Amino acid sequence: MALIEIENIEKHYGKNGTNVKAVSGISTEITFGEFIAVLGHSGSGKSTLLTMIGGLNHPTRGNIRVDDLDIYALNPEQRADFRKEYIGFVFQAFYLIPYLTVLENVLIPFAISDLSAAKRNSRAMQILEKVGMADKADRLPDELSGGEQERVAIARALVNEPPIILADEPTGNLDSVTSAGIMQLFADLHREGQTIIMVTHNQENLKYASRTISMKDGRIDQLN
Amino acid sequence: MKLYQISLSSIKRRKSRLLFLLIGLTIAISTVIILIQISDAMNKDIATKLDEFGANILVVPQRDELSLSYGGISLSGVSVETKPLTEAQLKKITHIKNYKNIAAIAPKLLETTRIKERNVLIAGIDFDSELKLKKWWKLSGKKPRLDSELVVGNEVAKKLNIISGDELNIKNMRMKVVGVLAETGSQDDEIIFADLKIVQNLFDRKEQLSLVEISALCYDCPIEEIVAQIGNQMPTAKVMAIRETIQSKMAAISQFENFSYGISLVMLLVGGLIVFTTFSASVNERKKEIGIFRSIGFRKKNILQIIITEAVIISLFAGILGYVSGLVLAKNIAGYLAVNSTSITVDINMLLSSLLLSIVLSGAASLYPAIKAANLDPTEAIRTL
Ligand SMILES: Nc1ncnc2c1ncn2[C@@H]1O[C@H](COP(=O)(O)OP(=O)(O)OP(=O)(O)O)[C@@H](O)[C@H]1O
Ligand SMILES: [Mg+2]
Repeated sequence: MALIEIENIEKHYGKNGTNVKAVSGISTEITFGEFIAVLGHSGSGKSTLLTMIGGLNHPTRGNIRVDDLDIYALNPEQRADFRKEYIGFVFQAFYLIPYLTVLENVLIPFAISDLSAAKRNSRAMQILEKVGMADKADRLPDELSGGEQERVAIARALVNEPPIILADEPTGNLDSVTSAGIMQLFADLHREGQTIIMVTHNQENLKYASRTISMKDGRIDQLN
Repeated sequence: MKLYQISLSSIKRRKSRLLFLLIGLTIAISTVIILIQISDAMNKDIATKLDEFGANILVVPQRDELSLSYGGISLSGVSVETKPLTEAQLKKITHIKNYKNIAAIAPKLLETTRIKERNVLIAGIDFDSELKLKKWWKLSGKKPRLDSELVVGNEVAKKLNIISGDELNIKNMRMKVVGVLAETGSQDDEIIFADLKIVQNLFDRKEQLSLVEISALCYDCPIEEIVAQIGNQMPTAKVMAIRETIQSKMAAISQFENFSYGISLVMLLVGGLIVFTTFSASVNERKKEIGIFRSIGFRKKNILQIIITEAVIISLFAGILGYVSGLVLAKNIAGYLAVNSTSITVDINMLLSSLLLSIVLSGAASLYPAIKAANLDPTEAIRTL
């Protein structure tokens, strides 16, 4: 059974005439444990697709079911709860909270859950260990390199074990060596059974993925 | 990691940005505390100084004729008192609503007598009440303790060559002068003072009074109100307010109080505005951050909580700082204004009020920006640049 069912979704931006069709009719199914790479030129609608899957961006048409749940039939607060349960976002611009330490950033998802403090901390340290950032747990984001910040962002996305990781060009700002390290991390997660959908510009990265979705002008170009 | 810890970290690591907010709020709270403390101290100060101002209400019998004296020159020796004032009437003062505002009641009976071939005014008074009312009285000699003891005014002593220890014959009663009043510059200099009961007996005017001097103090009600209350209890007497320094001083304090309320209101508005603009600016600044929280699954109310908690924590600091600095400054300013500042002390209720004020102020002022932040479109906030 599919984990994510995308049914003929469209997204139009803009009011009064300046209508941009960012996504114009996409249908696909993503099953548990897939590592999807979403490829496409700038402006082809990749980020729009990703945020719609993540319950952050209401489609103009069509619907998305995750785990048989029609996420845009939910009210906004229920959708927040859905994100908490199902989604870990990783963004290109790292997006760490500047005034929180590495450890605190990773602990953010637990601020709205009721896990005990001890469990939270051990889980966070465990995940920081995994991304190789445990020794820098007490640093602030601006004391880290780009690659290190990205690792922390991945750790934060993973910490409460969401079924789906959505990553938008996670290596977009990194040099090739650092990128390879991050991609290896995603490959490892994939091997452990993590479902990942990753937007990328870089053909190099496709080899880590189990499937590539190519996008052009808001549509799927071809299926591999 | 709990929501409030996010707020705490935000405050801890963005100190310089929040400093402005803290200072603004502190100044607002501090000003309010200063103004409240100073006007309170002024009120208490005037209460303790009350006695120095003497009486401010005069009760005399009703007369039918118009007054025949002007500027201290009396054209008629006798004026007929149609309804004499009595001690029984005076007792009714205890029934008035603002009795607690009455500091001293000094009843008097005035008569004329001949001493050493001259006419002299003799006043029967209650020495304790009189001394309470006239703190400026200086006796050389002592306060009369026996019924047969007298005090004489300075002019009387000079003109009649009387010194302490002399004996005088008044209405066939031998009385001893035990004290001479230092010059007061008032009519008191020309009067002989004896005990009220004795004078009433000697002149056969039992229970009767010529006039009563009263000192009353009320910050929140005009003296006319107390006058009216006494008038109601003593319908046959004439009750008058004496416009004295204390009156104008109380009016000045009441004006200062109004001014204080005005300034306090302005300061609180300014403080609220600072909180409002700081948090509005920080909402724009923190758009991304809010987007991240929302993408992680924070509900709107969680965002609201983070921002309001931040405002409340800062306002707690501002409340304490504002109270302490306000207290210290009020003490110094009171000294500068020569107002007795002993009443300006640490007061837990005042501290709690200033905390509450600060919290309510910054909570209210940060509410709108917080709601705005919570309602931000997360996609908009998160859009990859
Ligand atoms: N919030 C928005 N309002 C209006 N137009 C938008 C908005 N977000 C995206 N668009 C437009 O929709 C189209 C698709 O944008 P999207 O960000 O999904 O592309 P993308 O494939 O992620 O591009 P890139 O590789 O540059 O990140 C673009 O033309 C973009 O300008
Ligand atoms: Mg994009």
